[in-house]
Amino acid sequence: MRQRDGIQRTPEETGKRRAARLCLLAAAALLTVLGILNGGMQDVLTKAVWICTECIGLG
Amino acid sequence: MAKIRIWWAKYRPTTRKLVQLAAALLQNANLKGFAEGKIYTGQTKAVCVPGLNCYSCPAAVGACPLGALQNALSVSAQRPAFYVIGLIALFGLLLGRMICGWLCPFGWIQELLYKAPGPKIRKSRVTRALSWIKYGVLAVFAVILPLWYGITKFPMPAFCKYICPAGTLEGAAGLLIHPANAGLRSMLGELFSLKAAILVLTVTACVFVYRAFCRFICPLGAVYSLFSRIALAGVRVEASVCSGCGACVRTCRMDVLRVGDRECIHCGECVSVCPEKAISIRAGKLVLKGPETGERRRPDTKIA
Repeated sequence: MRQRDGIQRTPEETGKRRAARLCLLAAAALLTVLGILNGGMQDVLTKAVWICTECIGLG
Repeated sequence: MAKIRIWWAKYRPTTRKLVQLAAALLQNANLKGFAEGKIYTGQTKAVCVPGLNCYSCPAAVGACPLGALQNALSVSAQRPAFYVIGLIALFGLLLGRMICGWLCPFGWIQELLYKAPGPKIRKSRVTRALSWIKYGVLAVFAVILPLWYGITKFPMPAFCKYICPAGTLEGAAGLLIHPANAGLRSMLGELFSLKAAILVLTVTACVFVYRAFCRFICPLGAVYSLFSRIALAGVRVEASVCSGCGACVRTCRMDVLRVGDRECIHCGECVSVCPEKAISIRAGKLVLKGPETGERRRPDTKIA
């Protein structure tokens, strides 16, 4: 199989990709913070400190 | 002494193997949980680890991102799943499927199983086609069923409940063998038989097929593959140097069509086989592994 990733990326394209990544990172960080504030992190902790009977095959 | 040196040169663990071992131990640092037959209940379990690691494993010190996602979707009618989705997105944007290749304990276990003697099934168009199954598993078992059950009935992590072999291996095996958990053992039924059968099938498949679970079933790998084009860290090909010989793709044991695509786990084994030295693992501008770092080639690698 031939390596097809010989795409010559222009600085503008690399810049666009970088900008997109930064925006998405900011959005993900914001989501995470919102999730902590709305109690999502506490939900994860509450679930994780009890044996997950579904996970171990007890239903 | 010379024999020892030759043996060590051939079998000494690569950097990636050491990182995988360290990651597995870090994510499962509560080893005394096995001795006590209990799971860890500390505050670190509020944070998801990046790889597939059941939070019912007695040693686990973090939460499984896939289990957490399913549970968060199950209660999303009351509380949007911002936290888990945000964390998984952060992991994906920063590391992508490099998590699969370097940090996932279950991926490491599969690589160890593949070392067992036996015939090996090479990748082909069939295995490439089978790699699409994991997106269906993600959509149905990790998203739709938990959402639907959560809205209509009760929370149900469908992937964890009906499929996940990591839960059976790490959680069930770790807890049920302990004498203190006789009560749990008395509750075993058909569901456990199904999960045990899936575990046996997975372990067997991984002996013959490199990372069979990763490639064909793992929904977490499916999620991280969505970030393949945009993740900060990963394998990069220097386009101006690449001759298109395809040695990297031929050597790769995953179902890649090109280095760095959705099936690439960024293990970096292609770095040492590139005759043009066009491949490196980077995080932004930082070179983590490249031809200039002098990384050792895998002993059985042949340059095509």
